[in-house]
Amino acid sequence: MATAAKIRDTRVTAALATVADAFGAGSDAAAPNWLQSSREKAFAAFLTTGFPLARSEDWKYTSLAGFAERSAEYLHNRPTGDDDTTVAALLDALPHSEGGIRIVFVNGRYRPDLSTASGAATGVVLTPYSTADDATGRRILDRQPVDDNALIALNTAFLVDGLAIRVADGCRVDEPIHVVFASDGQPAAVQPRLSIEIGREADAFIVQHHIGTGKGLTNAVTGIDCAEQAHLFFVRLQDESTQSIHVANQIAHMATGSRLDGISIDFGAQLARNDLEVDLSGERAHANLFGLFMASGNRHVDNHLRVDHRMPNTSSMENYRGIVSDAARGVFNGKIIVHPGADGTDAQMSNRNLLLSERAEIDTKPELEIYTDDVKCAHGSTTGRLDANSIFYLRARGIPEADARMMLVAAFAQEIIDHVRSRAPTLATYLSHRMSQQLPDVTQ
Amino acid sequence: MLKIDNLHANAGDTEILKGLSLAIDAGEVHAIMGPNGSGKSTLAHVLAGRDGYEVTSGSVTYQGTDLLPLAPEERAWHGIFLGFQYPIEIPGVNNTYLLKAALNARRKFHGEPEIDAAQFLRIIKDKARMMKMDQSFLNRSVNEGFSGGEKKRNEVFQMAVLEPQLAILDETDSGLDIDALKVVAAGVNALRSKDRAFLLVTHYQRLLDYIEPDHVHVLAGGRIIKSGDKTLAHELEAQGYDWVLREAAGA
Repeated sequence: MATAAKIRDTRVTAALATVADAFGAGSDAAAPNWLQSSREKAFAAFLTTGFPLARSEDWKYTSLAGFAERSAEYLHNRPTGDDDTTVAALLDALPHSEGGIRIVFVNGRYRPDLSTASGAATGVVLTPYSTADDATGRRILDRQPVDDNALIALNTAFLVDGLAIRVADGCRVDEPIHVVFASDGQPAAVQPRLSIEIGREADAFIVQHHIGTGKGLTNAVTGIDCAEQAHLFFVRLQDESTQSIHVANQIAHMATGSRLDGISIDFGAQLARNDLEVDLSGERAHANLFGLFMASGNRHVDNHLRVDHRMPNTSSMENYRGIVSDAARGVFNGKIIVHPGADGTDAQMSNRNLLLSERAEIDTKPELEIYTDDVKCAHGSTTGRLDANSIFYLRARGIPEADARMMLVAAFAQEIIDHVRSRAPTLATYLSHRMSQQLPDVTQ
Repeated sequence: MLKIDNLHANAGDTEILKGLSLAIDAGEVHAIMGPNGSGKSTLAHVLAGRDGYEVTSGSVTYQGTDLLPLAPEERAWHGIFLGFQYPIEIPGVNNTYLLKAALNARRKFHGEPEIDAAQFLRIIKDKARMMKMDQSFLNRSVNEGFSGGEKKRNEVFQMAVLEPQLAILDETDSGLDIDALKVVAAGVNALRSKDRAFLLVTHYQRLLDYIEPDHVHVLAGGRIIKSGDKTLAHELEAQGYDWVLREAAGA
């Protein structure tokens, strides 16, 4: 075990040298000027930490050796243009947008020709990085994570484009703002970037949607900033190719009285790692965080979640569900930290997993760190098989066994998807459809 | 319709059914009574095809074919229905959806097209009314958050929609107050017909005040030790099981 970890770490170190060469070979001409100094700063930070190694506790169950090697290879061999036929097919399969705002990035670059922003309400400002002037760009970057961890630093270092979404104070946006990051299957090391600012008492619904084909490589970063009393409904849907490697970081800062409803779904990727950090930094800030992943074959999905309760009367609810079959592996690590002075904190975390084969594996670790007395916290995790009594009940009614199993797995997953329905019925229906398409693979 | 001949069955290493024989004809209602642990529920489960029981000898013939090799769902397609003693809660599986899938699976097996949506809706609304179930139950998850009585009522509702040829009701009366019992009994009585048979597994005679059986059997020690008409149920109610057990031991 220790030796295997050491070998993986050696591979990572070798890849790091190649990535350094790629950065040294010249920055991307398409990147805006205002990004340049941040890119250099981030790259310096990345070089000092390097890719996360297996020996670090946060990466105990998930090796980034494959990610590091693919990064090195792809950064050296960048595609010159997008494969538009492939992209068109990917976009065709998406749900019809409910309000008309759809912003599309292909291989990390904004594609105005594929995007429609005409439905944007007054008070919604959508700024692709590649179109921002220096002042705007610097303002966006000021509020963005640059080098908080190695992967964020890597994203910044190789950043060429991104999208800033700003919703003005008091503005309510009912229609979803659908941001699509598509990978066309070419060897592109894609660094998607989304920065979200929701103004005071504003209310918005944003979907960060990753799709792709082939052996993609994605390292996504999302910065979320909710002002006082703001409400953000945020769906992250990772639906990339099952050969792709996808890592993602989201960092959310929640001011007084603000509320985040987050739903994070992983249907795709050979290797997916998703880190979500929510900082409840204002009184009465609230986060409702749902997660769902499904993995079959020898795929690997890792969700890391951290919620910081820093102020009094903050509350959070975390409810993550995983479904693994074949030799797939799921990891859940959820950490709730109640800081000194955060009296009246209410935090409830639950992780439930379905293990559908002997070889599948789940590693789950919900953690609470509490540094104050007046709190109400609970956490729990369960991992189990499908209930034999339920299967028999359905079969006794005439449902064939395979269908009964699919019905039960779908029901388990659907409870997470249903949280999208009130706000976005069309998206919920699409999610159900995509979920049901995975069922034969995970239940066979 | 159903012929059980010298049936022996184990649960794990324990023999529960020890030579049970029983014949049920279409149009008949049979009640199986007996003390706890006599094998009543095992019989119901073996007939429905539940895993965990091993038939070691004997046979079960249903409509002329060997029932035992069939999977639970195949038995359902052939018209067998099991009303559960403890109906399972299935969060996330909608009652209506389950019934539609169940009906369509059976129709597919018989080479029939899927049921017309409007016709299906009419059926479930009618049957829900018959079972005095609020329409809201139709769109709730199967048995989730239902009271004990609501769960049993839902079992009979499902039976009414699926219209089986042979309905096995496993202690459907247990845990019911008198009003719920009347509704459940009325549901069963409404389905009685010359083509359909019922096997009522019960611990108490009370149910039989509302559903009049053609035959009453006493199951004890894994065998049927006495059979009679409905008056047998009254004798059991008045005198308990001891005299039957003694009589069987003496014989």
